[in-house]
Amino acid sequence: MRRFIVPSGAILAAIATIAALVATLVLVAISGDSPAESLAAFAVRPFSSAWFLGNLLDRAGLALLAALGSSVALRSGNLNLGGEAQIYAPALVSAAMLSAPGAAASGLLAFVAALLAAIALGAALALVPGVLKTRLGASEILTSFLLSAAILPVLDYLVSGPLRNPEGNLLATREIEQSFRLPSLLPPSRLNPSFLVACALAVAAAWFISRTRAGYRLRVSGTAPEFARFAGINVGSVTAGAMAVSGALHGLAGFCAIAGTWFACHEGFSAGMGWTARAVALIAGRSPLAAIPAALLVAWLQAAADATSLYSRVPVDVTAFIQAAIFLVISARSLPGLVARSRPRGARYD
Amino acid sequence: MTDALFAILASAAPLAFAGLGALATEHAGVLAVFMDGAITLAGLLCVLVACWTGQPALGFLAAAVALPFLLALVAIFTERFRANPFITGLAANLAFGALSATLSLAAFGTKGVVSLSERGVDVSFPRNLFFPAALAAAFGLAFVLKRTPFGLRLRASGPDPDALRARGLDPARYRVASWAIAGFAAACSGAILAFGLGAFVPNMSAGRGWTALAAVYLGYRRPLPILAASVLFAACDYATTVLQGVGAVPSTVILGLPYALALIVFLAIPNHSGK
Repeated sequence: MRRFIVPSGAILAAIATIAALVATLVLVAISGDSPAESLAAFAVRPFSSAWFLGNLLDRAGLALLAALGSSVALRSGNLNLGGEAQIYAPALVSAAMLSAPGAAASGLLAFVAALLAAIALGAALALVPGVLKTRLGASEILTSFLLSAAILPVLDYLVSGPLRNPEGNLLATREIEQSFRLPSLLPPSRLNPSFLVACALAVAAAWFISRTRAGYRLRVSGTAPEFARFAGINVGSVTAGAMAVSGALHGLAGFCAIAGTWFACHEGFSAGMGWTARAVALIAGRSPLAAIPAALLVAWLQAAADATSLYSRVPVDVTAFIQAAIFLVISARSLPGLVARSRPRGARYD
Repeated sequence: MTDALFAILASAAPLAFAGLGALATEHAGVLAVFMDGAITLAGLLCVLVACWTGQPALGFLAAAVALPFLLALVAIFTERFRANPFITGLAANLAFGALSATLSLAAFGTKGVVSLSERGVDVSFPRNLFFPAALAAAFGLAFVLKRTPFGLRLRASGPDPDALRARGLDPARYRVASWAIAGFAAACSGAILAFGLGAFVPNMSAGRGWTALAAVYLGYRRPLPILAASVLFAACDYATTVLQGVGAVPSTVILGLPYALALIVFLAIPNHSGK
């Protein structure tokens, strides 16, 4: 059975970062009518106002939450490719619960109920591939992707059909009640406390993985499953547990995207957020703390590409290209020369 | 009734080509997760070059050259850096999909449908020949895999590379060749979709690349049964389209079926390279 082990080392992270940057810059340069102007807008625009900056940070926070989920799975030797549905489905459930008539009357109770429902749903969606792997030996990479891809159209159907706001023109649910909306930290942008929660969770995840017994089991199962079995660790339940935590963090990202950023669930809600999160996790490699700058970097690349698309003929879907470039770099077992030397704990499959 | 049969056979053809291509890499130990994006990119190249030159044949030629070339590049990268072919294949899938959308926007100024007839290209294609072409390809691939030295080596390159090394052959070359064959199959599949519709449609493969992987396992990794599995999937697809017309099934939900189908087949049939 293939296990996916994250390459470590600052050099590989640097190469992945550079690959992402180059992929984005090339696309931005060739897609604009005047490359110089496009590139200038690319670098400067995201920092030009509180609105742009706040939204950039908000985006980074959501990516960070889901990336921590992706990271936990990676550390246990699993690649969770179902992030899209694990964000979208919990987001839809939170939006439906928080916009239900009478929800406002139950106050905090309704808020907490929606939060827990979102986390549980995300966890359940990721637990399925985890259990399929431990029970049937099916690749979690494949099953998590296929499960997510099969569910996404159903979610789109629910948003544009049964759960659609009948008074609105958009393909979206009703907006959640005012009292449930997380306040903005930097008006008029959508930056909200969930960004701080994400950063705190990154610190907590780093502590958990390096300092606790469960974290130790996670690390050993991920890097040396045979040794873990020999040491009496139940690798199957570590896999299932790590996948569930991964899904739970994706679910939390979905909840925060509703309560803090969008206030309603629209068609195609996840819009590549799962892929973005994985790009962040792969750049960060083994360290949850490194996911904070990685999330800021990827959010900047996306915000910058969005800003340039205002000036250029061709709006580019940078996330897909960034992800592709990072996948290629990260998957390479023996990049020649410098990476090979820096690879005592490098990427390995068995 | 015959109308339904022709419709099913016509829609089985692109699926069959994709399945046959995926079979080639399957023998080399590579799950063809790049197939879906490759089909869409092939369809776009067909339409793009057909619009530029006015010649659909040149469109197909462009796809038939570009896809094997691109996939061989990814394969060479995979072999050179001993990368995980599953991850590089996914990278290719993502890049091909995004590249199709970007190229469509750059060349036609739209992310929507690009119609060939509106752009003055003759769209009278022999649609009845699509399925016979797939049948011929299945026989051809079966012959190559079973009866030629190349086919034998290709089949050994995945499960038993040491046997090739012992004979002084490089298994990596046969694995790269299998990606190129899959690229040519994707070009055929994309061309049939594009010319069958007479247009490029965003995300044209619509999960067919993944259904094709399921067809490979349902067809027990043999060319002619894969063709039969493709017809079966096409018939299911036809049935759901009819149900959708009656209003029994919401149309958006159907978009998820290829993935659900692939998932079920993967779980039901053990021992494949996706494990």
